[in-house]
Amino acid sequence: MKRKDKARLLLWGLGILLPVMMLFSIATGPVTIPVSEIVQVLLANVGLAEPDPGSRSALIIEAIRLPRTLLGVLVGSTLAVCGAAMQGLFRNPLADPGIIGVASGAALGAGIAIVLGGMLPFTLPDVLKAYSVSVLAFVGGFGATLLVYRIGTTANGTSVATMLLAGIAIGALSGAGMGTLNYIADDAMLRNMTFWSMGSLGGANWQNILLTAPFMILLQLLLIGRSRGLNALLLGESEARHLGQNVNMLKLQLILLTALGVGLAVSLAGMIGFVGLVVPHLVRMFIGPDHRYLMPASCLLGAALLLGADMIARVIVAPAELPIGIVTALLGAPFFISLLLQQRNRIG
Amino acid sequence: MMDQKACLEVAGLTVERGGRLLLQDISLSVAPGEMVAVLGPNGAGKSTLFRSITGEMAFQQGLVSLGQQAIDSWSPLDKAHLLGVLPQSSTLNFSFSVEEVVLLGRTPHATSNAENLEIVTAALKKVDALHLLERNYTALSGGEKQRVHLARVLAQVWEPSARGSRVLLLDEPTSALDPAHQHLTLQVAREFATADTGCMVILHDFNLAARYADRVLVIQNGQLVASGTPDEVMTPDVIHRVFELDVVVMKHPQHGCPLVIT
Repeated sequence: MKRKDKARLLLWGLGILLPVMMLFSIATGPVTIPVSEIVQVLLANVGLAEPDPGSRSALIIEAIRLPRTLLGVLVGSTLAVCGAAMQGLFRNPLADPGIIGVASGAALGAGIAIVLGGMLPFTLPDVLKAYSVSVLAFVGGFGATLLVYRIGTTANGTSVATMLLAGIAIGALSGAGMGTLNYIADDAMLRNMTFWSMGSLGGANWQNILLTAPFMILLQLLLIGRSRGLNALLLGESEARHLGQNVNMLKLQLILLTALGVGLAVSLAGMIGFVGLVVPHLVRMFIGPDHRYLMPASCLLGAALLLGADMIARVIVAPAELPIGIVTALLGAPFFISLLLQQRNRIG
Repeated sequence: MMDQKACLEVAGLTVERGGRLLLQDISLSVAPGEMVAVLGPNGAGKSTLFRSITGEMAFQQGLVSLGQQAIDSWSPLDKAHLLGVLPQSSTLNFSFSVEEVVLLGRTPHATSNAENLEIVTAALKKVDALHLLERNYTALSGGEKQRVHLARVLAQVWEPSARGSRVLLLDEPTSALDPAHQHLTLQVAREFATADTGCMVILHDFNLAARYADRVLVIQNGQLVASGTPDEVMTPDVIHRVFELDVVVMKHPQHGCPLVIT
């Protein structure tokens, strides 16, 4: 089968898989809800069926499961698309969306919100507490990326290699900041920081989703729209320029979109590793590196996989809940090692 | 030298990096239908010249024009329709198929997919690489990769453009090729250098330059030290001065061009 046909087939398959995973995600939990009931509730919500006002399932679906599932879709797809974009920009399949400092900056921002916010002489209302973590995580992530970009950019353009090193340096600085925060934090704060750093979709609510979904969808569409540019970039920056790409503009766009996307994802769900790294890899193994298919397929697969990981996180130690970052790392790391082994064997 | 019809023109080009003069007052022109070979020892400034022309390297003085218009006044996309550049080597390490790599050459064009695939096939055929079409690029040999990239650049400037005459810049396109494919590559370039395309190619092989080029430019220490037809330039004296190599130059018994025997 030709690759392009394979790619189309994969996109169709993922297009079917994602809604199925969403249904499963809504159905799974302490109370299992039958699919027929889910469909009935969803249809009622868009006015296509009679609502059942007394239904307990309707309440669970509308208040808890549906927002959580939508958050999983948004965060998973954003992380995967941003990961694919960064692997293309850095021409390195081992890059992940955190490579430009966004993750470490976000962690520091969240840490500051948790620790310093907790040390204020007055107690913040819970809503404000939650938002301060999200907002500072976003600001920290985006700020760190801008810093990394500034360091990597001269009058002659942006050096991707310098950015890579700057990202490591900023990561180390953030690490020192986090260490300091850990040192001055009390037990409750430490616990909060730890949980935040392992990610969770548990904070999902309609307000968050309605506020961020338009941006996250738009960011992804814009990134997917850069597919041809990303393909040209894989040849090298000079070659991309010879092919008519405005390379400096393209790089700036990719970096800003990724910083915004990952910043939003992290601020909503904390740190969730391996999705941005592994998903594009997985897609590439099936259909090759052409970003015109890789980006949309990563988007769909990222969403589906994160929903799967969240279901495992919810079920495996029920009624408690495992942080989703643990699940993605537990699944992602061995998979990644097997990829490395495969590559090693191929090289010889 | 300042041909009114030149499709590529370089005037008084001077490039300085870290206090070192890499190129000094270089002037040259390439006309449509002309194939110009650039010779010179390692480090003479040949690639610097190419990179200044393509805009990858800033120059301190001089003017580079593509089709009567300063090269930096072209939009990147319009420029890509006219100027095809084959670099010395490529760093591509993603497992595209050969077809996909050559298809990248069509990035600047809005032609239909079917049309693009036709051009890709024709370009691969020209460089004798059609049999590689479905192969994984990363698994190719160095010479095969080089031909695939040549096909990609040919696909990029495949059709005449309303924007002006096309220019091909090839930086050592034969460095990894076996003798038969070295000749094939230059024949293809020669063929492209028809009425509407000018071709400038960096070479290391005197005899390839002598046989295929209309004009030969010799660069030494960043200066243009000789320029003219192969007959005028390929003399024992010039080669001795520039390359510190004693050679015998004969007339090629079949082709009539100079034959340099080292």
